Amino acid sequence: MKLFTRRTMMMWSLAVVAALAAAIVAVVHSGSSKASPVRQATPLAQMQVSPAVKAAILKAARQNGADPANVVELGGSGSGSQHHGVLAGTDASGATMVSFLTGFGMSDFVVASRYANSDRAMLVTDSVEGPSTDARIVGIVGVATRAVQRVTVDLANGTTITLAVSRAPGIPYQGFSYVSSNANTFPAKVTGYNAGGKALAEHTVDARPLCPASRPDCTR
Amino acid sequence: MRTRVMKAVGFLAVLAAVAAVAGVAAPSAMSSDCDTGAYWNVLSRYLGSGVGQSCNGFGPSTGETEVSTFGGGYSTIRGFCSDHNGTWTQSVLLQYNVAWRFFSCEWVGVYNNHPDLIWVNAHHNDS
Repeated sequence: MKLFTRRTMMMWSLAVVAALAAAIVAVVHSGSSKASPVRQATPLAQMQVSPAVKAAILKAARQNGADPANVVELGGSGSGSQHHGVLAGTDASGATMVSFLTGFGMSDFVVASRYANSDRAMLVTDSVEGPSTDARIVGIVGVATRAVQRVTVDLANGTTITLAVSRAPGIPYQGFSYVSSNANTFPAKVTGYNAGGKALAEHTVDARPLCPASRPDCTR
Repeated sequence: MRTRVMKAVGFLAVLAAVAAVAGVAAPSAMSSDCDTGAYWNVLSRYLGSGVGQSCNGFGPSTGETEVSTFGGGYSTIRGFCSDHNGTWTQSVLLQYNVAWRFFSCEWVGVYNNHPDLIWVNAHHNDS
């Protein structure tokens, strides 16, 4: 067999083109190699938070127009005073309302489409706990449309993990969270990918303590 | 007459220098001017990058709600709690005009985590 006949040259060329195409596809789709595991939402009554926090959630839901009876948690993580998650419910019109919960507080419930929509597939917030010049607990909480198939977190130590997301019937969004008290595994960047592996949204986490060492009382 | 004018000018120059030095030397994030009578009772003014302001909370046993609006085209700003010594304890990204409910907070404040000088309004209340 001649190696350089016209026919074999064509076959070699096709093989090279196919290999290049496969490599390009692999690079472009690298973010979709593993979709986020999907978990069921947790009813408020089963949330692992203190009675005081549950009372605060119910109070906020009532004040913000979310039906307290159908509030669930999406993507809860961490335990005790480090618990993070997305609270989701519906208002009188049936619109989804969400609130971000961290170990030390929560946001008001607002209409979820304000945070995640066709223009912005994902929104993430982050929290840092001190004291003073020392960041000891760093967490993220996020909500995304169903267009996001995979949520990853780049950690401070350089590794990347895929987060589980939670969904609930009747709520066209998904929620997730992550919290760490180990500086090596503090979250550094959160990315949401679609089914094709394209990054739809990113959030860079500011895990620094609020005060520099030169001014420990900077927030006074 | 000319001597008096010269003395007055010199006096004013010294005053201006003292004021300038005091301004530069003052800590940039000291709590001050928390106007309890205004709606924006934490602050309503320009805030430099890396600067915050906090105000005494309404009570040690209650939570604090904080809401902020701000310029610069940003969608978030950092809200925080600190203790009575000014030691920062917790911070969180506040979404524009969405209240955050700290479960417990001695002092509550807002911090400009952006690279430029922006106008910031912040309000806190007993939650």
